[in-house]
Amino acid sequence: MIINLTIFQMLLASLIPLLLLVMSKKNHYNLEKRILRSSIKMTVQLVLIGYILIFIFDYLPPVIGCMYIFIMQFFAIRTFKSQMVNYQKRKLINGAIGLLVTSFTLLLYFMFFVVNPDVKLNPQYVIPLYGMMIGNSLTALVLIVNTLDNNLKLEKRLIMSKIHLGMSPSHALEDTYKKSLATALSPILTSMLAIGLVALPGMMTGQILSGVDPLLAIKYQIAIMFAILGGTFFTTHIYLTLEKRHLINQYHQVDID
Amino acid sequence: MIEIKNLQYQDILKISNLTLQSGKISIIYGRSGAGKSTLFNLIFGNDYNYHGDILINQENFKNKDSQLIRNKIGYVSQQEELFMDTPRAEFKYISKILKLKFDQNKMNKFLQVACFDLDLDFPIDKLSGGEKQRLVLARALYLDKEIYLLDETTSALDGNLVNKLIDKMYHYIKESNKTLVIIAHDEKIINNPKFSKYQIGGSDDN
Repeated sequence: MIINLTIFQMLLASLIPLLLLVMSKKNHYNLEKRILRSSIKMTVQLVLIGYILIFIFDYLPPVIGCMYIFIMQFFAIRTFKSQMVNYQKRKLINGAIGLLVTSFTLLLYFMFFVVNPDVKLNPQYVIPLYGMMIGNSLTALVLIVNTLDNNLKLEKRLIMSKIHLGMSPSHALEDTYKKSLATALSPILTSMLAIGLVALPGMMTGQILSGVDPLLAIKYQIAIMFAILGGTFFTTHIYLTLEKRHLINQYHQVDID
Repeated sequence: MIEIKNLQYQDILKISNLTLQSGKISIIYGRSGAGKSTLFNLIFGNDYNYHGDILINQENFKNKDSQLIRNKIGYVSQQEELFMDTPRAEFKYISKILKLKFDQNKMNKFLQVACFDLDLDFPIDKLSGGEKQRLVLARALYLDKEIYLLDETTSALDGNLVNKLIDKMYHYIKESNKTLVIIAHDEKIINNPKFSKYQIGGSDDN
């Protein structure tokens, strides 16, 4: 049985960011504003989502409750837009297509085939699982967009030299693509290596804290990690493929700018 | 051979008639901003948004797969990069990525044509600007294209070397019957009587 946290215990936990404020001030780290803003924003968002989830689970028909994922998509795309270093509408659209198509397809696969069919439209499963998939895909997407921009700029002359020697543009872009993809997938691949040995992932920790058998918790964790890996891969893959169609035209002429 | 007829590209370039013969070295010159590099860009098929015709060995490639042009033409712009650490590795690398068999004799032949006489294992990052230009040139010649476009490829070389290089290139182009077009600023190259010269962007535009 999970132990409830009282208001007093929550206040004790919030002493930690307060201590950081003092430390930051004392050491002139100039982080006070950001620590304060992040702490408050996180608390308010989580309190709100707590009540929203109660409302969805208890008062809405499951099908309507699952629609909450559209709101998650909206905020994911908004975050994506704000994190793009060189904003361009085309990149926003290509990224959004990758993110939405991938996360939605994986969610359907997961709910209808992997998880017990009885719960396929249960918001209690759909919302947290979708959140994990789209959240990780979003991180990878932001990484690939900014890294690809950067690498294209850095390697433009190398790419053009290859094309001048007679290489096809898509062949000439390969090294740059490979490098960008490796960067975007590195967080998820690294965390899979360390999982369990270094840190217990959040979902599993939550389940174990609330009394779930660890062997059941790891099953969910393994399944969701595969879904997250798939989400990050396909999101970035779709983005790269769509971008290639912008960089190389029907005559195989290339335009990197 | 490259034939250009009634070419117009935006407000940048206008050429009514220009033929660049094979077996010869043709020099393109003119004030900066006259569209010399733009012309190369169009011949190389990087942009089809022009009016008129560009025939490459009698064939018009406009609105066709630009890879067909890249198979025929070697383009050495002012900003070519070397990929590897040594000249030898460079030739092996480009042979590999272009799916050619590495040919040592051919490499030596074109290093000679390009007047590159340093050791094959000399570190590339220690080469001077002029030595890099010559290596880039040898690398392009090694690929055995029908046509070469060289944009200011001799700008970092001193006078004696330019004459020696141009002389070797002249003989190579003549015996192989390839087409070589050079954009040049250097008076000595422009006024060399062995070459056909064409001014771009002047009063008479061919």
